[in-house]
Amino acid sequence: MIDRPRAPRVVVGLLFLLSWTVVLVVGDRPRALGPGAGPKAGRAAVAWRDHEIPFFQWGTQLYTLPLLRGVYAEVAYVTERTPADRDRLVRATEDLLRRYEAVDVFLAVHGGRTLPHVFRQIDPSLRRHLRLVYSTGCADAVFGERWLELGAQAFVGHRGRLSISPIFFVYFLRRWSEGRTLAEAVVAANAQAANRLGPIAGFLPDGLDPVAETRAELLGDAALSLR
Amino acid sequence: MRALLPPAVVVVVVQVIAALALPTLWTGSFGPGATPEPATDLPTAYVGLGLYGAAGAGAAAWLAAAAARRAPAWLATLLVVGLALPTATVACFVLYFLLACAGLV
Repeated sequence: MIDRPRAPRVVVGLLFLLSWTVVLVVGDRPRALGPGAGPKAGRAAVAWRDHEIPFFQWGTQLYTLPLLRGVYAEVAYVTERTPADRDRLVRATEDLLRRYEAVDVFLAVHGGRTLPHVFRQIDPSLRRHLRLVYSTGCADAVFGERWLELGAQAFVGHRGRLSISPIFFVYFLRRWSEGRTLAEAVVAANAQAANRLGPIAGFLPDGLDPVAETRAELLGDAALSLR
Repeated sequence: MRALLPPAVVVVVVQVIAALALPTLWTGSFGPGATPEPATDLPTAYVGLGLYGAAGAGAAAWLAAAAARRAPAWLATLLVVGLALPTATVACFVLYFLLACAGLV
């Protein structure tokens, strides 16, 4: 009978060494190296997930909500399930704008759903508390100027019509919640998304560049941060 | 060789659960364009994913250890690379995701 008494320890050790290496290379490095977000008081966040299959909506909430709660004093998270939920989003945003000096908005949306007009209902004196607006929507960078006109200090969005924004968003939210400046977070997330998307470019139809499509653009105050 | 059967079965069960759960979560009970509700509340989801990750990691370690100890080299390689490694990687990914959600990594 084969019996190798020491082999199991070595094999199990190598198994998990390899597994964690894959996870860290494909996923992300631990966040502890960042400067850290400052005190939460005075800032709040609104997150909106538009119509999607339940799995995507569930996954977005699973990831986004606890990270935001970790760095904002209050978070309003609204998932679109009925048309009335857009009103819920506006009411929740108004409520936070009334009570907090700075409110950041994270929109996990499909492109072309012009949310700026929804926020136009909010009183301009409240809208000046809008700080960062980020949208995952494909080609939503075209709304950037409108968001700034509405009162946001900065906007981050994607110009590509086939943007694989969730990849960017995962890294962006982690870098942003580390306390990095908006410019640093966008540059880092663009680079990390490019590293992951670059290798799949060869498997896509000719002319489709997932890196260029997904690259995010920043308008407004690039020095914003949670510090 | 019989010692390999229980961990191999557990690993396969863990993978079948993932294979069955994903499409279920994907389509939900509503489908695109309907008015979906979350499959479960967040704390339950985190606990469920945590248990899944722990079970996957434990089963992969059990299988790898049993294969390394008892199986012929070719079979041990097949089981470790073909079954234990993918299971452990997915389990580690789930656990890392949970740690990331909790802001710990």
